Amino acid sequence: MGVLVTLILVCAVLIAAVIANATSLKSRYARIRQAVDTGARELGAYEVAYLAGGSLRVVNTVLAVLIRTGLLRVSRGGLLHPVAGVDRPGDDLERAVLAAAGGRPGGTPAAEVRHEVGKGQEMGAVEHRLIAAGLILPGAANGMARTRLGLLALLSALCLIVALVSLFCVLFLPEPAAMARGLLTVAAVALLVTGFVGLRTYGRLRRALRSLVTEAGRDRLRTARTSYRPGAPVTAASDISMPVALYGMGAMGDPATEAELNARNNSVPATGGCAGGTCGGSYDNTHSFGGGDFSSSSSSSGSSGSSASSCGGGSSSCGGGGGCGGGCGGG
Amino acid sequence: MAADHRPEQARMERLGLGIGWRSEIDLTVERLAGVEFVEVIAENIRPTSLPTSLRVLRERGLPVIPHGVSLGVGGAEPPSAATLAHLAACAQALDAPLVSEHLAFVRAGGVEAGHLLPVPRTRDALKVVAQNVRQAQDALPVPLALENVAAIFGWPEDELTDGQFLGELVELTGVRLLIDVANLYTNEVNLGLPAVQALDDLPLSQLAYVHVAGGEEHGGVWHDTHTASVPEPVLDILAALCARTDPPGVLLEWDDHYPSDDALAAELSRIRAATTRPPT
Repeated sequence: MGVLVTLILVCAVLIAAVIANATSLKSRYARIRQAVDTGARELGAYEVAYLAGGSLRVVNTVLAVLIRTGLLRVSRGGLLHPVAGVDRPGDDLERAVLAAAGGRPGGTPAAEVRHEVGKGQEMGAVEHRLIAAGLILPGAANGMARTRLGLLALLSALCLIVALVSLFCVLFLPEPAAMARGLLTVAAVALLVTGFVGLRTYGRLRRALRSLVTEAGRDRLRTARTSYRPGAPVTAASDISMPVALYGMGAMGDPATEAELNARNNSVPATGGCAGGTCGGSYDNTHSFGGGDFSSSSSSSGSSGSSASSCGGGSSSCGGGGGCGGGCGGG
Repeated sequence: MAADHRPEQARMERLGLGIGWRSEIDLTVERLAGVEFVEVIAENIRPTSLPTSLRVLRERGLPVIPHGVSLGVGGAEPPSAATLAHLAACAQALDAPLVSEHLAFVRAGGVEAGHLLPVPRTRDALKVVAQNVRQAQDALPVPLALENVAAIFGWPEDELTDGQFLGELVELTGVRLLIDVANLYTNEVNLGLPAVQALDDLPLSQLAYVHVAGGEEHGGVWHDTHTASVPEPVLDILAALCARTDPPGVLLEWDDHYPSDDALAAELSRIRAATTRPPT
C-alpha cells in the first residue's frame, strides 16, 4: 500500500511540475507576443541585424560594410587589418570593430573581433535600444527560460516513463487490488496526458523562447524583408548593410572574402556561451531569423599557407639576423 | 665545377609592373588589376609550405621573385650556405626567374647589424664581394640580382662610386642589377649623391628590375619607410632611368600602414605613367 501511495505522490508531483513549468513558459511567450513596439523611428541596419541574427549578425554586417567601403582589409586566413590613411567612421560599432581589428600588428583573426565586439558596450547599446523599443526582451531572463524549457522536456518525458511503468503494473502485476488497479490506471492516464501536453508545449515554445525577439520585432523584420528582397542588386558599397543584416554574409556578394572570414582556422575563442566567434550572451545565434552567418562553403579556404610567414610585414629594407623585425632601413 | 659567370649582357625576362607581396595584403595583390609579377621576402616563407596566395599567383602564371634581406654578400665572410640553400629552395618552389638580394653587409664577427650597411667601395672589397657573389651564383639555380642600398653613411676610404663599383662587380661576376630608385633618392637627399648622375654610372644592360617606394622626411633626413605614397622626385628618377633603358620590370614596395586597394592601384598607375613620361 505504501508503494502505491508513493507512486501516486510521485505522479502528482510530476504533473504539478510540468504544469508549473509550462505555465511559466507560456507566460513568457505571452510577453513576447504582447510586447508593444514603442519606437516609431526606422531601424538602422545594425539594429535590424541584431533582430535577424543577434550580435554575430551585427558584427558580420559591420565587417561587410567596412570591407566594402575600403576601411578594413581581409587577408587569407581571415585576418583583419584596418586600412591606413582613411577617415575614421562615425558609427560606434564600426569604430569598435576597427579598434579590435587593429589589436594585433600582423592582423587580428575575424573570430577574435567578433568575440570582442560581440560582448562590447557598443553591442550593449544596440540591445538597449531594441529593448526600449519593445523589439527584444531583456536577455537576463533568457537563461531561465532555457532552463525551464529543458526542465519541461525532462519532466514530460519522465511523465511518460512513469505512466508506462504504472500501466505495466496494472496489466502484469499478479492480482492487484481493485482500488490500486483503478488508482494506477487513473495516474497512468493523467501522466500520459500531461507528458504529451508538456512535450507539445515544449515543441511549440522552444524556437520562440530561444530568441529574445518579440512579435513586434519580428514584424519589423518582416517589413524590412519586403523592402530588401534577397539577391536584389546592390549598387553602392555602403548599400550592402541592410541585405547582409537581413540575409547574412552571403549577401555581401563576395564569396572569396566570406570564405576567408569564416576560414576553419579562424577559430572561436574558447569561452562559454559564445557562438561563431561572438558572445552576444543574450541571443542564440543558431536560431537566427534569416540568412546565414557561416555558409557551408566557407570552411575550405585552404588558407593555412598564409600562416607560413614567420615574420609579419617583413620589409625588404631589413638586413641580417633572418631579416625580420622592425628598425631596418635602406632597402 | 664552378659556373661560367659571363660578363656579357644577359637576356632579361620581361616582368612588367609588380608589387611586393606581403601576407597582410595577399588578397589585395591577387585582385589588383595590372599586377604582372610580385616579389616576396624570402626569409618570410617556407619553400615546403608556400602561402596559398603565392600558389594562386603562380597558378595564374605570375612570376614570383624571392627577395632576400639577410645574405650579406657585401661582408668579409662568405655568404651563409644555409641562407643560400633557402634562397635556392625558394627559387625552385616558386619557379622563379631570378633571386634578388642586396649589395650590403649585414654582419661581422658574429654581430648582426640589423641594417643593410654600405659596402666599402675599395678594390680590395670588390675582390671579396666578387668572390661572395660567385659563391652565391654557384649555389643558386637561377640568376642573382643585387640591389643598391640606401646608405646611411659612406666609408671614408671609398675609391669608387656606387656605379663604378657595381659596374666592375658586373664585369667580374655577370650579376644582374636591381636598381632601387627610392634608394638613389635617399642617397641624394641624405648624402648629396646625385641620383640621375648615378644612373649614368650604372651598368644598365644588366638591369633585371627596379624598385620604387615611398618614404618620409623628418628633420631634413629622408627615411625610406616603404609606408607612403611614392614622391614625385622618386618617379622623376624612374622616368630618367626609363629614358636610358627599358627596365624589364618595375615593382612597388609597400611594407606597412597599407592603404586602400584603390590607393595601391593608383600608385601602380602613377608608376606605370612615370615609365613612359619624358624625364624632367
